[in-house]
Amino acid sequence: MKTSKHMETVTAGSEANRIDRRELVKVMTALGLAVPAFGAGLAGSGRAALAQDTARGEPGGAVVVGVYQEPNSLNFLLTGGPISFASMQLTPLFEPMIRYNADGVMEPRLLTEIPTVDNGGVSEDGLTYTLTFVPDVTWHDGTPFTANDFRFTWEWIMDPANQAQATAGWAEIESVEVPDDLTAVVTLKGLYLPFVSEALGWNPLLPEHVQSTMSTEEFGRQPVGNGPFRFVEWIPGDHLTFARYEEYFRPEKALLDRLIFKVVPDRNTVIAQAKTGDIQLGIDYTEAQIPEMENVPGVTLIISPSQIYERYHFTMVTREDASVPHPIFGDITVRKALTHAIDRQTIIDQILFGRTEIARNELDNTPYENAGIIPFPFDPEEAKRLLDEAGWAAGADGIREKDGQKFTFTHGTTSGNQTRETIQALVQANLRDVGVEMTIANQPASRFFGGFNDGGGWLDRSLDMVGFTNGLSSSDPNLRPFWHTESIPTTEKPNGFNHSGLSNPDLDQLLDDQLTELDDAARLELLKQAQQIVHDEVPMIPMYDRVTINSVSDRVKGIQMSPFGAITGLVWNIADWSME
Amino acid sequence: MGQYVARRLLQAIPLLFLISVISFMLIRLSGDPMSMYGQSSALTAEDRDRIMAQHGWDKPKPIQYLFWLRDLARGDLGSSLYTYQPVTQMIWEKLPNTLILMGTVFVVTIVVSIPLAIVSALRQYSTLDYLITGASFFAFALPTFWLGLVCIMIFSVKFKEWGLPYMPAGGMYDLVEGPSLPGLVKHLVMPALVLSVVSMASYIRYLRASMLEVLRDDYIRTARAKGLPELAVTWRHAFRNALIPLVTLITMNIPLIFSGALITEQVFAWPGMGRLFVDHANRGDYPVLMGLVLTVSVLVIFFNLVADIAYAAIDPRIRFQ
Repeated sequence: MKTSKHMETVTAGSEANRIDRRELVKVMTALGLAVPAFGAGLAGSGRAALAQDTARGEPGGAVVVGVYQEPNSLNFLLTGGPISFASMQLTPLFEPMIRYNADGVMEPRLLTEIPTVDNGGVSEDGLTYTLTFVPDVTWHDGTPFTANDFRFTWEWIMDPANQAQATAGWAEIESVEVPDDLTAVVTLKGLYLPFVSEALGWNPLLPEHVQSTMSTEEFGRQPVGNGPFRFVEWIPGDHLTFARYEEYFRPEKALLDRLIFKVVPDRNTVIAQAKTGDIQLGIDYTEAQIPEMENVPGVTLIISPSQIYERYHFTMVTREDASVPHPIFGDITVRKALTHAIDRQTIIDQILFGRTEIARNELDNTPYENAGIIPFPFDPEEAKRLLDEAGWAAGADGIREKDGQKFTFTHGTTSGNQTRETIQALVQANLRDVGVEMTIANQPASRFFGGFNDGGGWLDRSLDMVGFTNGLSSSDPNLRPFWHTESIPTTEKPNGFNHSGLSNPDLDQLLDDQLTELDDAARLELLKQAQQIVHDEVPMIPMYDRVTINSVSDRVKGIQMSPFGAITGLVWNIADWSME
Repeated sequence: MGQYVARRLLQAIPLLFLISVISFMLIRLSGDPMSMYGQSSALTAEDRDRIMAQHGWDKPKPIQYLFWLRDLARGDLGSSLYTYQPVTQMIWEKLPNTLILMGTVFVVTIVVSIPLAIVSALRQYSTLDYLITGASFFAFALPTFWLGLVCIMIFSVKFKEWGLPYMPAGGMYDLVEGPSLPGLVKHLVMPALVLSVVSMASYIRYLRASMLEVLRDDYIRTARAKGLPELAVTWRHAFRNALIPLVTLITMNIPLIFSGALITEQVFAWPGMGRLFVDHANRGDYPVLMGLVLTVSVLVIFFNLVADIAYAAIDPRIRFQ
């Protein structure tokens, strides 16, 4: 296959994929997921092909990106999964096997097409995947990339001595055979549907001839990739510099000569630097910074939705025994009442400058969401009625009581986060209005997000309610790690993410089934039912969708926010960026 | 004196041990390194189990301390749990940057504050004295993060808006132009200024007080009575004696040159030791924090000893016991 031909294959591959997901794309577009600031050509269909034909800018120039968080490594094994903050640096250096474009549609990159049963890439029993890689790809040292690098990457990840953090997807592989340089035949241990998105989606691969000569950590400091930019230098605490890779295998080489990431730890300084033009891109502002950045001449603020949202989890079971209901929040009527009692729209309007929406369900803003789920409305009268019904009668001091117990509970989130603390105060007032007392017990993030046996308040059930942001942080909608009974953390099994302790047999069944459902539409249906159960059980109050806020100098052209992955979604087409 | 130094150095060993136990427990209890992996759903429960077992985090904390102590005994400060780099290497990378910034601040502070303090003391209750003490009182009360942000707003953002030559808002070099000495100086001015203003304030107040105290002493009156010129009184008698506590203050402040400025380095994106501490404190990265605490503790103990020796060297009245 010649280079000119494989481009067609690439387009054809995404075409086929888009048909499967056309309905999903429509849903996303209808929800306004397309970023208005880059409205041109967001009509939905034909977009993937368009993106490749869009007039590109002139080559040359350097873009400086201000990042408040330095990557910990440039080896994806150490960065905590494909959609971590470090993907900002990994995406330019490493060509992913599959990426998501501005419509959230999968595009094969190192692969010639996304394996499906229809195109013969997946066997009928769903256990064997045949991966075909595009030819003429070279690593930045000139060595050709082959399917052996895929097999090596899997072997390297699975050897515990190499300290890979995330093995999701990879751990499901039984064997990899490489019949020729461009083909890898993968056999799974069992049916596992998230395999494509977890192991192949966004993920780079490692060059066997380089990685095998050094440790994972060393490679992460001097990475050799195969993407549009090559690594030049990394001065810790200060900056990272990448330069265009001239032998990039696609005709569309990177336009920028250089890409520089400047580490600016203080977010106020990021603003100052964006204003003075020291940086052309400012990443991931907080909502509170919107007014200050909104009307800066020469700088555009892009506010785009993300899949993550702020949620308040009820602790539904006791810390000691996950089968014993929590004395207050074990009762679903009480959980519903509190959801009705909180005025989320006012919080959004007053604290978040009206720039986001009430979160609806567990897969908010993704193609997999159950759009039929309507959030519980703000209705304090209904809240009071439900609390009465649950037996919590008004007490003498205005705080409700039941069996001599006062309705007072603890709420914790990360301390020092002004937005969160202001919102807590409003919620406190809302709840006081229906006779419920909420006391605040915040913890520093380094403790709050700790483990079950190490005081990690977000999941150790020592608090009655916890607030934090989470959501789809891999590209696969697998909800099992968050809501299955087996995922409830306990002293013996501390590593589960069912924070609330929700246990529902029907839900467990759905979550198990969706892992092995080969048919896309049927799997989606299972996931939608699972979302409905999660909504009906009210294990948490979905507060508001988090938005991704970035600032871009008007001199930078070609940026198209993709809705998938907040940071990855910004840099997915970094080869097309140019400087005016 | 040799015996005195040896005894002090021996005393340092149990002291450092105590410091390390207390710091380790405080650091381990205030943050959990698993929080770094907290929200990544890409890590399966099995991945988390494996990571905890690899680091020994499934063991009780005193045992974890012993692991750390065992590595230290082998001369190994361990590796960062976040960047996976050896802690010693991380400290060596950041140390020169902090020395550039804090060294500059140190020199500027001493060079500027000594004459100001002396003038202020000699002209006590004059307008100039009120001006200097008032200004230093004001500067002493300024939080550095606020002063830093205000400087950035005025000299970087507003100066640019007004079309004036403006200062870079952070970092050590202009990244597009590349590293150069003029570039470094330009980036150094604002953070060094902010830190100097605040530290000058305390030096001026300290030295002024000590000078005033000396000026009231009997031997100064005797010197004046026997008809010495005022300049000789000031320099040969008053200043040299007022300097004694200052030397102690300076020596004991030397470890600060190494430990860096927590907040100012953060605000001005200066890649130094202070930032290393803050960045890793937020992650419960205890090997890095312990490495820094230990380094600074050794420096503090050492320079305390130096201060005591210097004190005796300057002031013949002091003798080692």
